[in-house]
Amino acid sequence: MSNIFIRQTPLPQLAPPPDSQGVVGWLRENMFSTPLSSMLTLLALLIIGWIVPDLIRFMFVDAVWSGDGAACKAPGAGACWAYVRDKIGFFTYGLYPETEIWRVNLVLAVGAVLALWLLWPDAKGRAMAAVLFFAAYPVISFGLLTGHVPFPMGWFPGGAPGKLAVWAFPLILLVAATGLYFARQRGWAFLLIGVCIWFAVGLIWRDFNLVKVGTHNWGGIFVSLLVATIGIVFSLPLGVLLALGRRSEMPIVRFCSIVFIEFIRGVPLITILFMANFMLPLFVPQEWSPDRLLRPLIGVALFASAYMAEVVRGGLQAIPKGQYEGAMAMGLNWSQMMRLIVLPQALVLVIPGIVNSFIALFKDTTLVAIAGVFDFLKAIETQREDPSWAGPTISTTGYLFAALFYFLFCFGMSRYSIMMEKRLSAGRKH
Amino acid sequence: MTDAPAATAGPPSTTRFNWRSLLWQAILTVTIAWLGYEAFTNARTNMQARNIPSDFSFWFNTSGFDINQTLISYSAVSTYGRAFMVGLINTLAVAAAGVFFATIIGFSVGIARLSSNWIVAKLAAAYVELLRNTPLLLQLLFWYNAVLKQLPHPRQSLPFPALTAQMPGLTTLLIGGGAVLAAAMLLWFGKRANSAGPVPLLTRTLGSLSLGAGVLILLFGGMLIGAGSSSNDVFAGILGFAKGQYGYLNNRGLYLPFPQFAAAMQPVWIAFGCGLVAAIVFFVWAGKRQLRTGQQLPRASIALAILFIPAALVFWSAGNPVSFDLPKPRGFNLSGGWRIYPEFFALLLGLSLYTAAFIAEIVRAGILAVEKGQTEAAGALGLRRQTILKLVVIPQAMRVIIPPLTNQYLNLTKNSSLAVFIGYPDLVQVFAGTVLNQTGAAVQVIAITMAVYLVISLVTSLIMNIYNRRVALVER
Repeated sequence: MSNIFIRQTPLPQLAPPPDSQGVVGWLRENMFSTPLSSMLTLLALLIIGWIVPDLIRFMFVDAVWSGDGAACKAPGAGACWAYVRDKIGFFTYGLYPETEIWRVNLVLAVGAVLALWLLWPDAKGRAMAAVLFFAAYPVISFGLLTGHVPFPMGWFPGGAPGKLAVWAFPLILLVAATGLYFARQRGWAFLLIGVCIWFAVGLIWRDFNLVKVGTHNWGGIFVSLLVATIGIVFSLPLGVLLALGRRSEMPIVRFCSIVFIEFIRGVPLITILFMANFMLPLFVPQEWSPDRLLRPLIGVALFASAYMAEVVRGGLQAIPKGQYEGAMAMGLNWSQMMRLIVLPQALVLVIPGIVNSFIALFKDTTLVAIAGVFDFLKAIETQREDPSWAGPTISTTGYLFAALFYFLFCFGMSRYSIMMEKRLSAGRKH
Repeated sequence: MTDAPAATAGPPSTTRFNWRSLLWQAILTVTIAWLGYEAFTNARTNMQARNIPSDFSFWFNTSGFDINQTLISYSAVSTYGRAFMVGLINTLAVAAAGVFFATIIGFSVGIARLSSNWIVAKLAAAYVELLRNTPLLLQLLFWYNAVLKQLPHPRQSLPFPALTAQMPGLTTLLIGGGAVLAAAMLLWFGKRANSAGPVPLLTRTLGSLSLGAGVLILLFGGMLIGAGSSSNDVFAGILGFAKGQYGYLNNRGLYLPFPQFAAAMQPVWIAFGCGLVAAIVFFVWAGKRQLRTGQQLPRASIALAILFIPAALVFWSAGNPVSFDLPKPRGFNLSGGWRIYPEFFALLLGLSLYTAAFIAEIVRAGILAVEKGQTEAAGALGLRRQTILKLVVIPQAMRVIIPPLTNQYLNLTKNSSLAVFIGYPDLVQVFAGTVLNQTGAAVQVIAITMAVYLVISLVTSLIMNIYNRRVALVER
């Protein structure tokens, strides 16, 4: 039995086959696994080889970074970034007076901070941020951007009765607020205090004497952001109301909501802007003639609110029926149920949907050019024809710059939306 | 909220009747009625003050302006109503063409994104991300101003498609290679059809395509050289067109040969119509026979053959009664042929590529929505990959794909209104642009325009709801 061999120790593990490992292995599996796949890889490499080197050469290697029109007209010149640098002020602020640009910067910075606070996952005190963003920020921005006092001070009569009113008004509000607070109506109390603060801001504002800048001077990136932000700020409350109305059991309310939503969603944004631009001045008395920027803003806000209503409705439908029933079993009335139980959950659920709406709205702001508003894309369009910069690469450079800006912004927002969606569904995946 | 008094029999009513809801609804009704009344009276006062017509009589007035691209006859002495028709048909034309191309491109990119080939998947992803994150208007302006308007003047037109200009010998290679491939496919298809078992989808598709291509090339190839002669140098004609002898591309548009059908074409159309009816009848009959007896026929190929071969034979025997109106340089421009305007082309290109990016994501979501277990179970049953796709994956994926797909079609139709920015005479540009400016009848014009889009949207939603109800999963 000495010629029987029994291994005592296992064989050493062999290395895997060399061409299934490392770069070669990855290539074999992902790019050349079947003949069809290899052909597609070659085709794809051909396409990339056709586009990418030319693009890099145009954008970076041959690009003109500084100089003037003559440098960009030179044969073989690439993208004319000097033209973009020259015009960046117009592209960003339009015709806003140079000395007052700090106001625009302040508005944009405050807006960015508030938006970050609202959107940062797990940020603290977001209710406060929401109040600031939806109530205080529009008022302050209106004041800063136009230069007008952001309170209808004209409603107060002049002279001695005016002075009395100026003292009486906040006093009455404060007394009413205190009374309401102790009558357990805290929400209304805070509302009245808010109006008081608003009035105080208006009073202080009168002494600032800011230069008034008409809306026909606004333009560029700042107008695009403004239209999109106003669209979102007004469409969110309105959309929530419409969504709740659509799910309401009151037949007239439901009917009106459905008609409004389906009407707005069934027509192109351009026709809504036409309606706002041409029909709105006919529907209001002559003396109110709405401002040239206000009309497309109203159109955009209505448009966005119909789409936001559908997004919020999706969120409301995703709340399990048990939440509604539990709230009703606890004796909460409809407004308490919505305010305390349903809407906080629904709105958090649809944050990705809201961000997607914002991306779509930001892209749709390019259409307000039809109403004569100088948004970013129209600014680029008009400057294309500038004779001191005329050249074969100017059009492409302008469009490339616009595409880069929109792409970075929208892509960034969409990554945020995907991240939030993953976080929100983490607890739901089964 | 108080409930209605409980009934003595049956479950309690779920509709709430109480005074508060009545009050809210009354307030809403009164507010809307008051707003409507105010708007109406204001509008009437303002319109009278500015001498704007408040009825629809402008519909029958002479328009006085010309439209450069019309699919129906129109001139400066036609009415505003006719201008509306022109705009509407232009919108529907660009929407139909856009839907067609967007679907093809979208499905291809969506499936490419799911490919196991890394580079193809990443290319498709880059395409989708790039096109979805830039505004459509920017893309339209780019295609129109930075690409199509930069083409040379008609006197220095580029030949189209001019494949040989890019790479010498490519055209011959493509046509020769295509012919060889078609022959190989025909042989392989014949061999496969004789083997036992069902014929895979890919083989059958390629078989049908090669059969159809072969028939078309052989029998209609003579068209490409213009005269209705029967001495058809087929490959010379195709090569000539491929080399770009008959097509011109410049900044005024794309000029292509346009077929002129002689009177002798009537029997060909009749034969084609009969072939269509016969093909449909055969298709349905073969399907029923398969369900009854289990025997499969290559339905698509035979149906295509029934559709084309009789018409081709009649065409051939009538001596190829078709000639081509070729575009020719004349003065500073070109005359004749079929002119595709750069505005239409830019709009079509922009809309198709933009919507295709969204359709690609929808298709990807639809295919991913089918559980892997379905594919695995079908494989365990012994079905081959093409059959699994055709019978298991795609029907289930279609249920998820079709609702958002029709939504994208609607979006494409509504986005075609951006033609107003590049000068394509669609409904919004002609009617809500020019006609509104000339007549000033803002309310009527915008109301009609919105009504048109609303009707299109609502009809599509209705059809989609019917489809949804038919294929909806019946849940417990």
